[in-house]
Amino acid sequence: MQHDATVLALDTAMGNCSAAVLRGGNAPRVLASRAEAMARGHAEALMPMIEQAMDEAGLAFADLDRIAATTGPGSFTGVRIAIAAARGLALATGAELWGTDALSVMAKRAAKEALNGDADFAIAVDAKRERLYFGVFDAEAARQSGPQIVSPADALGLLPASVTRVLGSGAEMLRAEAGKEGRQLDALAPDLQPDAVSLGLLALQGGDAMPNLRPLYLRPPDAKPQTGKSVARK
Amino acid sequence: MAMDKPQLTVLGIETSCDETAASVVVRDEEGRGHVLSNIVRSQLDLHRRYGGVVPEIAARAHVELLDAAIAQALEEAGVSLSDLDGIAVTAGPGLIGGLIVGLTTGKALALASRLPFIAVNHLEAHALTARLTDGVPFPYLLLLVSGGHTQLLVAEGVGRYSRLGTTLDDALGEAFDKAAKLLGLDYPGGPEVEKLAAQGTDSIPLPRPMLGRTEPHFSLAGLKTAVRHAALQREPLDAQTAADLCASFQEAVAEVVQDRTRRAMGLYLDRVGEDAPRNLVVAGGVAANQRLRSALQTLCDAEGFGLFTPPLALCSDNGAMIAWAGLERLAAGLTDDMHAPARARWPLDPEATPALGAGVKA
Repeated sequence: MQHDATVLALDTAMGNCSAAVLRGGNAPRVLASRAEAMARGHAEALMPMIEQAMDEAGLAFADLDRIAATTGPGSFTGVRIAIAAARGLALATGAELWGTDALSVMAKRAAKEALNGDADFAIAVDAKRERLYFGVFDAEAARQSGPQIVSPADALGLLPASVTRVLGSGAEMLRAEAGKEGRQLDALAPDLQPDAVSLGLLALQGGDAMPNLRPLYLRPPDAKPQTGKSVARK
Repeated sequence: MAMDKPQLTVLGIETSCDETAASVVVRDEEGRGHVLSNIVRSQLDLHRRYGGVVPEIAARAHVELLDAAIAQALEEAGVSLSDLDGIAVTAGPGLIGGLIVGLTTGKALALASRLPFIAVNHLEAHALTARLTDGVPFPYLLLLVSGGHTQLLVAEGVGRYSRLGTTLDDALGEAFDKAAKLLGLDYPGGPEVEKLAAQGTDSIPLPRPMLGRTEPHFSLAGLKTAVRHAALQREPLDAQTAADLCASFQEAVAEVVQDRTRRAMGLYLDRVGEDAPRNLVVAGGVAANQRLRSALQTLCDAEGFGLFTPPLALCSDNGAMIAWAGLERLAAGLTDDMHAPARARWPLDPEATPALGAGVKA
């Protein structure tokens, strides 16, 4: 990314809907941002948020160098909203596309808000059906492993012995699992969500453009091949 | 009628089911439509093994295919976004995951290009297609027959529809697909049933549900069950019996559609008056069925109605009809803002009272 690049970041992956405009440089600045906690309704909320954030930043869409979206995991419909918006905006403006996973965005936010106690940590999000979205990060929120979808027991096996802090809605599940083996973990920040400002900061540091920015689902669609309902034929 | 409106160009986006589609259409000064490009990326291969459209698979495909389809539609039309006068997108009814992808993409294009945004009702787009292809004037009688809808409506103007009849249970296209599934035919079943019917004869007695009823409603579930019973009685089916079943099923459907539409013609004239134009427009994927077309032609000839069936490419889901509906709305000064929601259900006539005994799909 060029030194003073301007980024529009969009996050609709989980329980938050947010848009932020940032400009890079030695001290990256947030020019404008909008965020609202919501379990559903991201599709109606996102575009007005983008409109307001761009107005407040006093920028035209042509001023954007990069458009970023959180790729997931998260709600299937949710991750598609930010990505569809980003791809549409990129088609109209020629800005480059970029994205990263939701756990990296959450980790960046955790480090920014000093929730990880300046130590290595893990993010565990309750993915329902006894599964976690799981990733391990160093003290500066650089990803060490993940994201992946695993059972609490498997997540525990993947957790380095040095890591004692787990953040996110699935942290308690992992702490309980560790307790069965007599291992002590701290479950923190159960309400931690990804957000567009943290994504924007990563997008300003981030590497190459991703012209084919696509969702990261980690789960196949629920669909079973058709079983025979036809009558017998000769 | 001279409209004295400037020429308008609109991009249409359609993602309500399993076609990812984008198209550029021009409406000239006289109000005539010209399709400059019409890109349809079918997802048939993705859904075939499931015997029907899987909503999540469809939504996943839409988000990966749509921007390239739009870029291709613009390129083939030889226009750029700055040449457009608006962006029209299907906002419903349909599968919500796909609708959200199309709607979000379209809003993003409109916002970044500072163009008017038009949220289009997919059913209205089907309803208006005959005005794109044949310039049919309002009012007209509309028979909408697709995999998800079976309705008879009076089209009175842009945004103004009165429902005369609907299905109490399955849609017509759904009945074709289920008959095909029963016989182990390829997906999608409608065209396969028609192909096989051509090799059979109408020799197996099947019911004609709703025939002669006062209100022009449909009911297809009983017919579907009758086909199943007839098939099970003859199990295992040889090729000729399967073809005869298809022919008999198609005849039953044609007769029912003819009868229900005849009844709707009477109600149409009651509503619009004897001096109003007498035109029947057939829209939706099932309008591709040739037997149905010939049955309706016979009816129209007998009743003094003109019959308009858009070409096949514009009967099934496509972006051109969305662009055209957007053009008609734009020309009428109807646009939407960035809050416009995706709507899984969105009846053309919200005032219509539910048909007695109708299920949720009616």
